[in-house]
Amino acid sequence: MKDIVFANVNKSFGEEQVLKDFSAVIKGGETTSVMGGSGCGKTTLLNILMGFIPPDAGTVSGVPERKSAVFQEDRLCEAFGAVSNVRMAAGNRVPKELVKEHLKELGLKEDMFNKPVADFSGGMKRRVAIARAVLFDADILFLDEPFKGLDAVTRQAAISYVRNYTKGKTVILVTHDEAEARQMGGEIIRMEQAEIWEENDDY
Amino acid sequence: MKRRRLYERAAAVVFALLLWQAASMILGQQLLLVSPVRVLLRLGTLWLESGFWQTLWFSFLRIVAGFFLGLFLGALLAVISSRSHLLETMLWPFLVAVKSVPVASFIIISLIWLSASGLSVFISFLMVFPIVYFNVLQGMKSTDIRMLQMAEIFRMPWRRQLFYIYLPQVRPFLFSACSTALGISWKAGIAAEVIGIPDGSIGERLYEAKVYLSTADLFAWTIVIVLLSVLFEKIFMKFMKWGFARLEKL
Repeated sequence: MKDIVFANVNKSFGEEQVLKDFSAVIKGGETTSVMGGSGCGKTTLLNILMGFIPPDAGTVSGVPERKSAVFQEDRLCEAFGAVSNVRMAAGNRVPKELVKEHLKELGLKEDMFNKPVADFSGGMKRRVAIARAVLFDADILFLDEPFKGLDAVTRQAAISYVRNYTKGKTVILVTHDEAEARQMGGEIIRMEQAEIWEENDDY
Repeated sequence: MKRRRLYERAAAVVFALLLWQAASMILGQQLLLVSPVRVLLRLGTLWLESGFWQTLWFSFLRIVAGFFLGLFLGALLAVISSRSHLLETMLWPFLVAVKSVPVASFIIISLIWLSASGLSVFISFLMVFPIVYFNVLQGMKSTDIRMLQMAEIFRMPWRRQLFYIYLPQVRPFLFSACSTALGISWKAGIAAEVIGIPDGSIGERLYEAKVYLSTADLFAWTIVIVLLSVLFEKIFMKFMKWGFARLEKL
């Protein structure tokens, strides 16, 4: 799988420059965590990668065609159930039983599967969004603070789940939490110092 | 609380009826203002008359057909317009004309082209179509951009987007459009029948009541129209709610 290469990427919103000459290489088929404080441009970086916004200057190359994502705000269809929400993205080729198994693995109770996700807690919605992203057949996964709002035990289970099912895929995790980034393994990019790379040897 | 509101409304209706009865008694001319008691008595005999149910069926069928036609075409063209700026622009002058031209003008113009019996279908359609079109279009356009980005990432086909993203978004707009359009379709449809006077329609009965100065008949038929319209609206809206709930469980 190709590496993703950022070359002197700039992005501004009005007067505010969010990315300034950002250059980096994200290894294809591996996990990379992007860390940094609020407003440092992590989500902007993801939006550029997902193709939602173009960079003002510079180039981004090597982004695979088939993408999947856990968005910061879940972006679930609230009127529909958990299984429907996963299958609306993953498609009908993914059997209902498989979706249910994945949801169970993420700690969702079976009696909740067909209830509208509007009735779910924030943590439950998060887990549905994670299952949806993982079950969608993609080469790259964008995870924008995917474990936010999960308790310690559920977070651990969700991290193991994502690691388990994304082997060989490019995973880009955006997070504030250093421990989370280390648990996910792979490399870490710190947005304040985009040029400096840190190898994560924990895994 | 709900029961209390019900009692309050019932009391308000009784008060209005008493006021009507009093006004009728003070005037003392049944021709000018028939009393509610007389209207009630006339209603009691009206449904027993031969041809009552056929008359009801005649108007109901045509007005409801016009409503469904307007609902279907309005929603369909709104969905296409939300994706085609050209179609939206091309339709705009027609829809603005329909919205601003008085219904009576349309009825008289339509009488030149159409038979009197088909008139209420067309007029009912004409009134419903822009309401549904504009509401559904607004619903489609107000769809959350973030949900569309999600659909783009997951490469959701258009049909799936329509079902999972647009339909729930359009739902309140469609409900509001239907609720408004149902009332208007009955009012305009009956007005078309009164002007076109098709044989065997409620409009014809109202026209006859006017010609023969039968105020009791006029009021009785009006009550029949209101009941029919309210009953159909209740059944239709319940069916819509049931339909959407079923879709969401799929």
